[in-house]
Amino acid sequence: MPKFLSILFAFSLLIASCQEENIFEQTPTERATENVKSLHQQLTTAPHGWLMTYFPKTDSLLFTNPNVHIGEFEHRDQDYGYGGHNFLMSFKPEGLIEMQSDESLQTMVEKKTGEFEVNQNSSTQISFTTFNYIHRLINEQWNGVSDFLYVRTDPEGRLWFRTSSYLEVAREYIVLRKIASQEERDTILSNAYRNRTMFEEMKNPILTIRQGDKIFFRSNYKIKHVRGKISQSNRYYLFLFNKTPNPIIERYPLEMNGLGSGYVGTEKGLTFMTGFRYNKNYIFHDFIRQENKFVCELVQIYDPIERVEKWVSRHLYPHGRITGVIAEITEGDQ
Amino acid sequence: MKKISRFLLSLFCLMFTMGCNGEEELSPHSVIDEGTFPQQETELSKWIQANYTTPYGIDVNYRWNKNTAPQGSYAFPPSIEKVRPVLETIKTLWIELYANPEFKGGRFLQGRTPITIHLYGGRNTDINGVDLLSNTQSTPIELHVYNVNDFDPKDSKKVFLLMRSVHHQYAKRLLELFPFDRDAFLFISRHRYTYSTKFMVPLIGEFKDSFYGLSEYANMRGFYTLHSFLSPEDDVAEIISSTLLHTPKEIRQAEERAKTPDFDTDPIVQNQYNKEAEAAHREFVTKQDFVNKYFEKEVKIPLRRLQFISMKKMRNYLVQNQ
Repeated sequence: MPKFLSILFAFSLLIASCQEENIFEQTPTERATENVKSLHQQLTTAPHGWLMTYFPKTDSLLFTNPNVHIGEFEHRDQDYGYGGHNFLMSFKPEGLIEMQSDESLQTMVEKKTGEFEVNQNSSTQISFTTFNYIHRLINEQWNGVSDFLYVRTDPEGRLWFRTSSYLEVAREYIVLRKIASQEERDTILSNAYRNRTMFEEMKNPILTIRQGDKIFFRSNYKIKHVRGKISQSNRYYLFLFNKTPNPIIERYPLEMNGLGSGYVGTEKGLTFMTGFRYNKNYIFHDFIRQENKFVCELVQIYDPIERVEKWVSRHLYPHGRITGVIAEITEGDQ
Repeated sequence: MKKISRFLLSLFCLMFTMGCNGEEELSPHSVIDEGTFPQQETELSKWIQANYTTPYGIDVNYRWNKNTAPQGSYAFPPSIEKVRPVLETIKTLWIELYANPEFKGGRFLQGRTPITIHLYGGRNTDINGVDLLSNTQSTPIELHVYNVNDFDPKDSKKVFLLMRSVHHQYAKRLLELFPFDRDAFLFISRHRYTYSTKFMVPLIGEFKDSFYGLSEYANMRGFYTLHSFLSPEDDVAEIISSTLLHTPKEIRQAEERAKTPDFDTDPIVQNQYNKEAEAAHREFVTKQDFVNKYFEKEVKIPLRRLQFISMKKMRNYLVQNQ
């Protein structure tokens, strides 16, 4: 009998040893589902909705070196890059979305209801499944899409997305920012529209990059004088410096250089993507409107996620370290 | 001791049985559908059910699905308010045409309709920037309709363009259902097929008005339209699609264009032009005859009769929508 008990005991141990220990609490499917649910919940629980800033076609190598010579025929509209658009979005739990856009005065006011889905494809993604304002960017000019792949949430609570349109980095900029209050929701698009149109209606705008009295760059080429109007359809602007004037025909300089970027109106001013890139630190993205001019003063902050010092706009990070580096866009002469 | 052993044995059996009782029930919800919601029944969905799905077994998809749109095209979902006018037009000018009581007692479409109609707001452009009449990455069992957002039932050009694409795609479906002698057809204009739209790029501007209709450029080379050059299947589909949307007089004019040579003062060049026109005309009528016989023998519908009913329907439709 003791032998029988020994066998029974050994058998019990054998069975107990076969029990799998659950090292990971969730299966891959459960984890993917949780991502979908989490993003869906984030989107649908924001009481005042989200602002999407979408630059579908950026190019960080286009007109970003102020020392490169720009030829006489290399600064026409067709050589320009592309800017961005704002969309105000309210996601409803039942899969509906209300959208407004900064495209025109009408689209700013008129809410367009459509459907959306959060699903798992190559990664967690939002798909706008019925026609809405954002689909107006799906064409040769803007290269927009209907599906947006979720990348991450940054420490400020902004949701970053990308699309499957590009393999390279920095070819698009898609950020969703939660609207803080009803007041902000009521004014954000109209302010952004006002700031953008003010910039577009400036007569010969001039970009000055300086530190104190020392001027690094100052555009002086009168684009309006040549073509009558700046390129609004692409939401892109190129500030040119007439390095070697043409003594015979003023409008055709012998040598020019310049800085360009796509833009979008914001509540406080303008955002340029990929920004005016004077050098690796002096990159000007976010400008604040101060009466009749737009100003971007760079301050330094430490980014604890990426563990690097960053140069950002003072009006967005008022506690950053002052650098004195300022870019200003002002109205030029007629 | 014996009692203890029995007790231990019973306890072991009980624990063993209980250990096997840990299975959880499967969730009633599919993980694939997380984040999506059951579609609400709307007036539009009821109309589609009553007019397409129940009578003809056709599903209509107007919501965005990346997997059904051709890669690289600028397709996007259509405006909801444009969906019904497009579907009404397709029903009147395509479904009701083939469902005419003259053809198999109105049962011709039974089991022969596409499974799904996909609707898109944007264009179906290929890498050469040419708008195509069908989705080249799909099969004819699914019908793809583009430019829905631009559709206007009062605009005869837009109705024509929509139906050119629908008839073209359904003609290809017929070629699958009723196989044709591809080798014999290919033999007629075998040296002319391009299998690419590249040749059309410079013609877009020049033949803007006839880009999707009967084209002089195509007629003079033995074809009905520019899209006929793409392949023998496209060629047959274009003959059928064009026949159903053009009057017999317009088809005869196209045939006249095929046999009319270019003019040159040099007799040697003129002789060459004459030979080319003769060949183009021969190919034009041979293919026309081939398709007529195919319809009569295989599809068992006289194409001329179908053309007559189609033109009549189109006329009535345009008058009603004015």
